Amino acid sequence: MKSLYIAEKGGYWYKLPLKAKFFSLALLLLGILFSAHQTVLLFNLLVILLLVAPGSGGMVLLSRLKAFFFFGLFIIIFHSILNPANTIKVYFFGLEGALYGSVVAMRLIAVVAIAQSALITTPPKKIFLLFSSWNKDLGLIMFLLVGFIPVLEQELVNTSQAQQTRGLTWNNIIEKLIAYLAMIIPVIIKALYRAQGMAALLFLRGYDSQDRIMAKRSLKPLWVKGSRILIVFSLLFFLINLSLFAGLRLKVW
Amino acid sequence: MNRNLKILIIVVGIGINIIGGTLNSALKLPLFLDTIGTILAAVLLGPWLGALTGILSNVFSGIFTNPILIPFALVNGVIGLIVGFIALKRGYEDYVTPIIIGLVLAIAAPLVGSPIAVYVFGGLTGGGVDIIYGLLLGTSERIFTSAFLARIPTNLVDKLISAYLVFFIYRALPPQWKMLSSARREKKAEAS
Repeated sequence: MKSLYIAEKGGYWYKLPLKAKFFSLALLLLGILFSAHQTVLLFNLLVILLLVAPGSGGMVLLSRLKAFFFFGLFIIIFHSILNPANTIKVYFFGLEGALYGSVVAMRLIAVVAIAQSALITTPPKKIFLLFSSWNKDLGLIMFLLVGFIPVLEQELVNTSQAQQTRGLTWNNIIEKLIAYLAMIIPVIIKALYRAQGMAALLFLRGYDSQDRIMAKRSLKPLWVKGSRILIVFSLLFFLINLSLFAGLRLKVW
Repeated sequence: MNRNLKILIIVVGIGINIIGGTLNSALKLPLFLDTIGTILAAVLLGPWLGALTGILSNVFSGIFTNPILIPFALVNGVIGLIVGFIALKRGYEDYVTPIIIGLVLAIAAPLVGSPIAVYVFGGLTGGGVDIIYGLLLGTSERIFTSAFLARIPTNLVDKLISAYLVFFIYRALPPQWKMLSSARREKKAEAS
């Protein structure tokens, strides 16, 4: 399966150990979710982009964010015209709605930048290894899925061709719905039977989730040399945002 | 063996969710149809593993296609929980249960999904629902209410179709598949 991972471009997000990277990105994400004021959010967005973009292949990240820039623009325009809180209007663009829309758009772009930087620099196999270290079965489910989805896709193509030779068409919405059912039901039934076979194979090969301890050994611990600065920085980012959020809510400032 | 089969049913459920969504967008239907696997897994395996199926399917497609899908894992998880508990209570063999499930999910899924959509996207989806959302925003003057109401009609049709699809598949399954769910129901009946 094709994933969002892009092979090594040489940024520092590539070199970080997995646990440290995900921990610091999660803290940055929490910091973003707690920043509600537009000025704070704008500053945070700039910090995030400066921190994340050079470390994860720069232009790749920005090209993936391009669609969200346009969607953000759409959100701002939509809310500036239709938001019910609009009172001050310039022609038909309301200022309150535009402000609300820009907060949402900036938050969206920051969240996507963080998530994409994690997925660009980490191959899915390693993320599943992280799952395996929490629970063995969880990791197994993810690893089995990687092989299972292409099989289902092929099954879908086969079924679609078989049904088309029997005269299936989809021109209007009712026909489309019937076509959907005619294609998905055989795929589901075949998938269930395949599941039975694969479960028997797992049993025959002696899969017992209690014995697997590989994943835990292959992952570096959180607090290692080389990732400490980033963890401390993201912790500070989170704490500052949390205190700003609490201060704004409790009207300390 | 039983444990392995459970794992594989979760895998199949996630696969069906993803393939169902893909086929839906390929046919350009104005629905979602990406919760069929969650409902199937919840009926066969019970509420908690059903919720796990839902959450993992969004996490998996988030990792492989678009990370913004990951927050909506909550919606899929709640669908698994609700279907699982209703199926545990009523079984899934009569014609009424899918209607109940469809109606409950048509309210519950937007109830969980709209706050996430409002927080992350400002209530917009980039699709046809936005027109209804805009019209409602003009009349109801509340962002959350409009986003919630705009999502109900699509969800109602979507979840009813999904529930009945799973219902007909479940009825046609051989008895050894139903054992997983009926054994659990009997155990619960004995306990109470």
